[in-house]
Amino acid sequence: MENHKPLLEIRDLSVVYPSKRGDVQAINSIYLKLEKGGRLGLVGESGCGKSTVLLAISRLISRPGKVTCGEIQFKGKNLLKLSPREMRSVRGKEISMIFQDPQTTLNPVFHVGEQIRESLRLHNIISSSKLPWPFDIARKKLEKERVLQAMQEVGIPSPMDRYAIYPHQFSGGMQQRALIALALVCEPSLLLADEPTTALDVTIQAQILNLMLKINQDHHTAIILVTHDLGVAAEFCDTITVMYAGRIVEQGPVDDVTLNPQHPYTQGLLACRPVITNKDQKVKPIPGNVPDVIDLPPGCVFAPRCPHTKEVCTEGPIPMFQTKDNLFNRCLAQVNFERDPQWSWEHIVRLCDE
Amino acid sequence: MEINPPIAQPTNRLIHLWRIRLRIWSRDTKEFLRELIRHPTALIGGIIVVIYILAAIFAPQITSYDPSTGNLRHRLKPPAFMEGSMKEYPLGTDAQGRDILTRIIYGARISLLVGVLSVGISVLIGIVFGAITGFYRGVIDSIISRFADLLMAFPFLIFAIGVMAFIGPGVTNLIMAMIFKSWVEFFRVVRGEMMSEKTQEYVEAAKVTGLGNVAIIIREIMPNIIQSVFVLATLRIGEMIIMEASLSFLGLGIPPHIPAWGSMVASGRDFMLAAWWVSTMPGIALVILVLSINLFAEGLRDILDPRLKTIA
Amino acid sequence: MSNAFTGYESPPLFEARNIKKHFYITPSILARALIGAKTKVVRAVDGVNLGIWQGETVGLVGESGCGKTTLGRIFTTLLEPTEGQILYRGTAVTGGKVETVLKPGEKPQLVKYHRVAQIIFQNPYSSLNPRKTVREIITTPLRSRNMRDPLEIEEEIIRLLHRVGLSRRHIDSYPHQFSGGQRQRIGIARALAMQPSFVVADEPVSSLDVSIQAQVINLLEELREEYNLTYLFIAHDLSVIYYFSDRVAVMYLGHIVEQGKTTAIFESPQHPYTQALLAAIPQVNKEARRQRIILPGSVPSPIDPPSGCPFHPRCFKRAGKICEEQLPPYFQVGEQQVACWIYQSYSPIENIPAPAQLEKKPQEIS
Repeated sequence: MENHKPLLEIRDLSVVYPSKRGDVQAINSIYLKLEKGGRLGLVGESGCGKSTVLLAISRLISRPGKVTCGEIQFKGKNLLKLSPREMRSVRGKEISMIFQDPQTTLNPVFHVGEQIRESLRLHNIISSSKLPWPFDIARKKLEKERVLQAMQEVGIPSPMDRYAIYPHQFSGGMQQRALIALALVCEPSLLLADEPTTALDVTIQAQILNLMLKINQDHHTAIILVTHDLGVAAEFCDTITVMYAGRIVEQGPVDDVTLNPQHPYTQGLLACRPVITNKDQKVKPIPGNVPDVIDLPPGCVFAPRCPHTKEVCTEGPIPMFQTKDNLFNRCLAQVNFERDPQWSWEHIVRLCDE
Repeated sequence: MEINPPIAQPTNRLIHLWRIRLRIWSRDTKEFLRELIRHPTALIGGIIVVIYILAAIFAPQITSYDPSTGNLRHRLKPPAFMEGSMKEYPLGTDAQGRDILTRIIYGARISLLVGVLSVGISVLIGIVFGAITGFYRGVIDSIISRFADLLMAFPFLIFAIGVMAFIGPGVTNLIMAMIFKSWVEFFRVVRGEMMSEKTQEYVEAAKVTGLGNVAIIIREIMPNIIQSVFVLATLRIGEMIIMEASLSFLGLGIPPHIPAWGSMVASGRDFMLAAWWVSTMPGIALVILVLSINLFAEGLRDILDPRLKTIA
Repeated sequence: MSNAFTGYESPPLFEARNIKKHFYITPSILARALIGAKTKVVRAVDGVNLGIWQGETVGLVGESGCGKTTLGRIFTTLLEPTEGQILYRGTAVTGGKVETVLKPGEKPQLVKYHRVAQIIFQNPYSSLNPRKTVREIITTPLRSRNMRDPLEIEEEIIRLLHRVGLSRRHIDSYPHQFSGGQRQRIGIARALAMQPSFVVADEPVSSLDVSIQAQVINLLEELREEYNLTYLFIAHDLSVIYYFSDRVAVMYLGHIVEQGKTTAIFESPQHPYTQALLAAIPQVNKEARRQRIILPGSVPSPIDPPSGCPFHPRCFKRAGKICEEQLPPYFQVGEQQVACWIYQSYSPIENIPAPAQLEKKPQEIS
């Protein structure tokens, strides 16, 4: 009997941003599971809510947005129920986050090494004597060594020389490495990466992804990678979750999702990228635009742009269907759904909860 | 919108063109007014300013007294809510028997004239110099910028006093003295914005669609810069009015028989304890006007600025 | 994928000959006097020869700092080269005017260069004047074409909007009321308004969502067929370059290191940089994935380029000391031209050759 709990489990998470024009449902009923050392990819276009999921996990949703329902189980605790103080000790130490643009994430007026060390200091990783921090020489020395070690590990050459320089003196790739060092110096079990390579050149992107893979394998750090590039997700992750307009539309092991996608949106995403092996293969764009999040159509949100819409698709909320172990999708058309006239929508939704 | 069948007469085409322009203008104005209503402080400020302007324009129609000569028998009469006052003089009279309310309304003319003209001309000078130096840079930029820096080094009031003492009193001289230093601020703003807008891609797009440099400055970049200049200018009008009041208080600027708030305040200095209203009433009028202008300008900034960035 | 290819025998329609563009950063007089600060030179483009033939699409690819954007601007005369010239039909473009035939059958006349060459910008948010309506934005190029009648202008604007997939009710809206993809379409309409025959597309889809990218790429393709356009397509996204271009030129630090037919370059890249670049593309399709080559270090800055071959500090296939000493010329290797010393046994080439004839036969132009 497996009594094994995954590292991170999100159940029925929803986040709403109230606005003048109405409530914006940023994410709606998200279910995620991540094992220790796993690599999960959150894929979708801009506005689909993937960054919001990361912000919700680290409880950085800024007001007036708020989590309206759901729970986030991390190492047995529900993160949404923690006090701000408890959450602060989780953030940075057990769950770390790296962002898209390292230029704006690093503080330009402090040395890079100092910024990395700040994380160590805040979480009291290195045990201290009773002296206050500026006077605790031994601790500062140990912390600095740890920082240099982290910088070495992320591949910053000659860290001794680079400890006391400012972020703008680094190149984009180096800055991102420094950010990764900052995130990892306290040895977290979960790393949240919000489009870390989007702003980088493709050769540098390869370097950074390689680095993140190495860290994942050496330290068994679980990684959630948010990206809009299915290629990146396909190469890096072992599970992929595809999001559209705040909902998960398909979820499963990377090979199943990328080679045999079930949801028309995933299929559309794959079809609209040019394929390098075949010059004559046409690019098939997905018609229409991403819907305005306030004015979502009833039923399936993708229906207006979907080539396989059936009448039943627009009538009510679409549940998640499980097609194989760990493989889910939210599409009636693909699952050969036969609607029994006695069943109401609420009945179906409850039944199909995973 | 349907396209009318092309008719050979050029007038119909012109009418068509102006109809489009009118439509867009009225749409933008309606949206502006809607936004204005959502900022009540700005709206109130704006209304009060309009009241002052109308009062200043129609001063002869709404007042019944002569602002320059007074009835010596009715000197220093208190305002209507105090005892010993006369109904005909609602705000009282000054040392020469002139009705204070009338003088305040006529004084508004001077204040508004000086405020608007000095800011207006400063803005014009600042825009021209700022646009040229910001766009073309080079030697002309160095020369004008250094000159502007030099001017900035002088404190404003002392500078104005010095200039007025040199060229003598009078309304036009007063305006010139104020322009002499205040154009620098607008010059700086326009120059800075011009330098940053110049590198924007839409300017390159304009070059590629065949516009020459002058056309680019005037028709492409200026509309983007005008916004911030306008807001700044409205804020400065209040300051200029205060400056004028200060200068006429000191006796430089407006000859004493012409009603101006500053000199009115000055003339009541000797009677502050006995007849406080002579100085205080014009002072209150000044405060209300400047406050309203500032509220309106602040609201204007809020309305105009984020609108550019919202996605409708 | 173009259908109006006239083949490579004729001289190129556009040619960049020995183009160099250096930007000078001069410190202030005070800095020079006090600390002896020197003038820095940014060698954005450092000696480029590129020919573009009528009807073809040349893809220009490279990472940040390689100079591709600068080269694109030079091709449209938005930037003046420090050295070198842009040639149109063999004659240098001077004074912003060229001699060309505007309508078939007419005599050649002297027109502004921008009637012939246009540009589509990368950033849909900054390339449209936020204070102008769509109507005003597109009227400007139409006016340059000497259209005066406002009704005629309006008809043309509506026609252009329809062509790029927007409706006529957008004509009086401001740019901030549109999405990124729609703004990019407006930019395309503006470029088309001048009726050019050559379009420089500077990363036209990089800032758009993936599904919108595909829509805009398809639009550009349709326009190419319909108006018989010649494109210089600048991008850093290699999949899009592969899809859209007939020939590809790979740039690194201001030099073109490899150029040739697209399929040839993607199937058998010769220059080590091209190999690393192609290997770095993340692919969904497992068969398309190549052996990962991780390049050490980062892209160097064009202020202080290395001596000799610009790639030698990061190269994994050195030919020897000559890599540090001399800039390699182009060698003809198979179907492409490669600037790399490891091919020094091949024949070096002086001028840009007319590339090998394509297999496709040019379609009849009606």
